[in-house]
Amino acid sequence: MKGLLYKELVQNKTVLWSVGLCCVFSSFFLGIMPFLLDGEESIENDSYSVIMMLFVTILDYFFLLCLQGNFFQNDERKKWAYFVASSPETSAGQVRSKYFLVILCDMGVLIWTYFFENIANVFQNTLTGTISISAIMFFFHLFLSAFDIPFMVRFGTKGGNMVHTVMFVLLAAFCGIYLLFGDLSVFGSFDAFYEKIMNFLNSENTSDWIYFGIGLFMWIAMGLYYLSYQLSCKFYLKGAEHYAR
Amino acid sequence: MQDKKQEWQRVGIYFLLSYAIAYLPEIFLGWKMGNYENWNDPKLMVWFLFATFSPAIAVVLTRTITGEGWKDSLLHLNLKGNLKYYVLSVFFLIAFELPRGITANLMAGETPFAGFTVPKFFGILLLTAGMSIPLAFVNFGEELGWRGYLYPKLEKLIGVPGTVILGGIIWGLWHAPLTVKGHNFGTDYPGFPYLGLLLMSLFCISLGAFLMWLTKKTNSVYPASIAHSVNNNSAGLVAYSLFSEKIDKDSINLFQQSAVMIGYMLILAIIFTLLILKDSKKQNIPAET
Repeated sequence: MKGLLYKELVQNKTVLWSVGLCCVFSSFFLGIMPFLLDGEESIENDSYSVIMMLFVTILDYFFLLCLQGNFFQNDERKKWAYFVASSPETSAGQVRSKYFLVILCDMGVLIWTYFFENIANVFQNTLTGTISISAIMFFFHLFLSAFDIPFMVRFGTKGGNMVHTVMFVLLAAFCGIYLLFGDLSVFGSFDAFYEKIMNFLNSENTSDWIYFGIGLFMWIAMGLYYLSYQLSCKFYLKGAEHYAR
Repeated sequence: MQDKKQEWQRVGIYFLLSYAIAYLPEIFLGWKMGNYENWNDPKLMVWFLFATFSPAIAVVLTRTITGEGWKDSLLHLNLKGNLKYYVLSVFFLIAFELPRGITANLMAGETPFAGFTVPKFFGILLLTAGMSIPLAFVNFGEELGWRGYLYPKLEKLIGVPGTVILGGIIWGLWHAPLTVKGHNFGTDYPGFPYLGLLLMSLFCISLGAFLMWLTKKTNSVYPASIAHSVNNNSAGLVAYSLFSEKIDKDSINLFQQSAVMIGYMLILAIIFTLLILKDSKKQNIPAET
């Protein structure tokens, strides 16, 4: 396992650097740049800072989700698949190292957002405290990966990309329908939007069930990720038969 | 003899570094900002990061200075065969908050589970437990230092009970700049801040025993990091979720509440110290025969 993980880190150096750079640049341009350009006097809105930090967090995980397909693409070779299946690590070890790498990157993004938030807060002149949202995003990324990875293992990265596309199209369709028919008054201003969210979260009736739902979601995401790993182990050699090389 | 002297030197270097790196920014923050509730200046809070990770920074520096390398650093996950300890690291301390909630209800003349509702109790339980797993990296620095470096060294030098007590005191007093500024128990209690420092040391002795047991069982610092994260993130929330509506959460005296909790936890310390001793004996028997 250690050896395979080392191989993954070396082999995917470029991808890891790309994820890292995307996170650093997006965080800098969205989390710090607006505050540097406008100065402390003009942006004194705490809710604006919180929303920018949330946006940065979501974007960082989005980059990881988009680029993690490369972890699998680099190993799409029949010879390698049969070699590793015949080694003591077996195909389960190969799949395990991929799943472990995805969790490592997920943790990396979480750690990055934690440190970046502290630094960005200096420029934003406020304490945003969005680390718990980042932790929830960590589980959301696990949840999406749990669906994404078995498809990549079974049908190759092209198959996985199809799943990505379907996910994004569904999300875009949902947003589009809401924009056409939903109540847009909540987006009137950052303050109004933020206030509505906070009121919703803090209301006596809903908050308990919301916390319950989010808490349950985290454990479901972990369970699904494990199930997804088991499924990918079963699919690995079947998927290898379809590799082009 | 030479080995012991060398180990004491390493402990000394680590002790000085971990305290210096944590104390300097914390004392500076306390001097600039006053009590903990005023520590909301983002420019100064960056310095606080150094304090949080000071035990890890101290380990890296000590291992480099003394040239001892990274043998026995307990950095492996060791998941195989240890999953039950990982599960325990997530749920044990949360379960330990139940007596606190029940006691508060009984003292208010209510039934033990007066404030219990399924979404409130399980919502907080699942949320704090789940969130504490990825957020364990925040406490990883401390665990790498205390359970990963200091405790094993002290154990070789002064045995298990001595390590639990001395290690706990060192760990507790490491929090002193925060405790005297009201972070742990507020400032409104008799004997402030000295009783707070004593209580914090007792708390660290108790929690340290459990974390030491976890670390020794798994040979890894990660379960202890998770348990530490659960302890910090739950911060009484599970107990509060049991509180009857009659109890005003805002008027709760942090010091009194913590004293009740630490009372329970001292029993925990004794149990886990005995368990560690029992395990050590088991390990030593085949070696001696």
